[in-house]
Amino acid sequence: MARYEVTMENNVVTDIVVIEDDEEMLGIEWALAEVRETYNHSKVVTASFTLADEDEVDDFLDSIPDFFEAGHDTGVDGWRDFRAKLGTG
Amino acid sequence: MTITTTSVSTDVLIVGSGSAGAMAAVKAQMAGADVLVVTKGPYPSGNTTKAAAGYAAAFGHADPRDSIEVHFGDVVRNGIGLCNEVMVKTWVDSICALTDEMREWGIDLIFDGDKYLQRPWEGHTYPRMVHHHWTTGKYLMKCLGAKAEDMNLKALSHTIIGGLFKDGERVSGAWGVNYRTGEAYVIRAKAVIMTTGGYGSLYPVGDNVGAATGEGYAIAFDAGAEMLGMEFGHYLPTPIYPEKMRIKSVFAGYTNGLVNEGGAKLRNNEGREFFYDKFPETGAKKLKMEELTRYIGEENLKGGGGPHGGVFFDVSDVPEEIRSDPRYARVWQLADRAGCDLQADPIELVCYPHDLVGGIKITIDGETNVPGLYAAGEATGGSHGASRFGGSALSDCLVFGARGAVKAASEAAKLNTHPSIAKADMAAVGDKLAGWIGREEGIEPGEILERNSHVANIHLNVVRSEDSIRRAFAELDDIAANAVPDMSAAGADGKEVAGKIRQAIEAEGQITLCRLLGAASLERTESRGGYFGGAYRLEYPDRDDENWLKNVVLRKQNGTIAVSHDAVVKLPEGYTPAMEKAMSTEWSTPEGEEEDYSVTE
Repeated sequence: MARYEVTMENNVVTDIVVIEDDEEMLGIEWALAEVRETYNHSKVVTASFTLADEDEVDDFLDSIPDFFEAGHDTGVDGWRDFRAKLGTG
Repeated sequence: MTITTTSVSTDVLIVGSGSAGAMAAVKAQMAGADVLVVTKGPYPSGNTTKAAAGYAAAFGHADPRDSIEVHFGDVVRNGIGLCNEVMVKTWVDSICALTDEMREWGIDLIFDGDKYLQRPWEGHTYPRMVHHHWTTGKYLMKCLGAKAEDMNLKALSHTIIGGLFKDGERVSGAWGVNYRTGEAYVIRAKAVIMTTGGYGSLYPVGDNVGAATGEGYAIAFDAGAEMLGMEFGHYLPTPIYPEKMRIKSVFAGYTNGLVNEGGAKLRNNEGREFFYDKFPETGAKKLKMEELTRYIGEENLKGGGGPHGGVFFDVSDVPEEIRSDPRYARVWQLADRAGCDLQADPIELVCYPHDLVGGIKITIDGETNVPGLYAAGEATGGSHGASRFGGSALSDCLVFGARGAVKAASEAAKLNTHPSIAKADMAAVGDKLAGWIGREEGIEPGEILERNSHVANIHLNVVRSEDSIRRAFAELDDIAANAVPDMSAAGADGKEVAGKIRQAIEAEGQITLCRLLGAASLERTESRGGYFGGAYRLEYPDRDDENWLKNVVLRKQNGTIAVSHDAVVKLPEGYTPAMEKAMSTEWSTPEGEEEDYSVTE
């Protein structure tokens, strides 16, 4: 099972990479909380988030568009096939 | 597989790299010591990375009426009579300056102009949390990690410490194993600082990082350190079933909120809403999180849980507008993603230790009763009393990590040579590792970890009874006598062997840890709790200030656990009026600010 780091720059998902397996993973709930609260506070999310598995990456990509204003393109559609891109599927 | 051993020498060895350890490392090196950090995770890591809401520091930026005196009073009030008040005063006095120092190092906290954006938190008289939204620990550790990198701090990551060496009465070093490579280390040190964190991952569910398995308590105890307040902890409810709902973050806010606002029900295995037994008018509503946790735990202990041991969290009557409320929608999102039908297959809740308040007994400078051994952070006891006040965990770790480091560095500098490690002691470690590795047929250490976890979850949870504790002791005795001697770390390759050695160290340590939890709980024949933790006995449901305004202290004596009592340390200079007011005022939500203060861990 792969672990992932997802990077957002200026409210857009710009990178997803496989990272070394580690039990210190923060995971999906922290990632979503940070995106939501940072956007609410400053309107700019630029940070990286560690996720525990493919399901959490899917969850992240599905969930974050709701945190931004309607019409904003978070770039998630380009990452729907992240498994194929990263060769982890 | 052959274990290769590397010998290392350092002035100050720091075990753990959470906020206490990472701060200790920076401060000890700043003080001129040669420092080595050994950490089970990457560097830095630990439970601090998962700390959410921030920590309290009385800058008075949100409300100029705030002061160190009021902060002191708030902490002591919530410690329910058992705080070491000199430690509390030291800590609340120091945290603002330490925060400003970290600001110079580049910590990314949230500001309002040039002031900290301080938010309110349950129990605090004034808003005083400094934070990075809901991921404060992540940014605190980024700061300490970057500072360590700037200073070229030395660290051995993914390495578990298995025990301490002593030269006479003095701690002289430690041994450990990298659980990825299998390389063993013998580390000579003039001072050792234990910052090994809590034991949340002893339990089968919860929000702690996987490395928080708790063997650090046993290592310190075995070296002769006194342990204080081991019966106390801050527990919270979380799903144990459905398995896919076992989230590794705090679930308690959903439980409390959905009970109060959504009409969710807490039922036992007879279908009865058991909170009405205790609270005939309100049931589970309008309770503090601590009360909700306590009585969920009590019902589980009495056998009222479902097939997976937890009481049922029935959300079938929660109306659609609450299900789609952004504060609660995540519960149903998680269930949908996991393919769980919460109507037909309800959640079962058990309790787990979110964080601990008891541990290695230290002075305000992190000294233990064992020469050369220091400690800081969640692994220690005293400052929080019976209940770790919200916003206190990180600040306590930072302050006592820093102070312990300065003291350890100073004492290490006085030694011209390293204390020695006896060849026989090193040989004993070698024999132990060889025994585990060489035993081809034996008991997997993972099986013992599971048994320990079961004992803790069932018998040593938030509420305990004499019967449950004695059952725990009996099971632990059986594990120690019949499973541990046959433990095998044999494996197909070096990585598997190394991983099993880690598990074996954790498994042995947890047996001692569980015995400490049981011994302290058995001794305290009362129930005492605050907003954020306590210790509860089924047969003694009430607080007993007449007999129990004192600490339970455990120490190793002739291979057994000796129990004694320590008086509570009071502030020798007495209290200011502001302290007295905060200490004596029953905190309540300020009128009109209920929403701001409704947050909880």
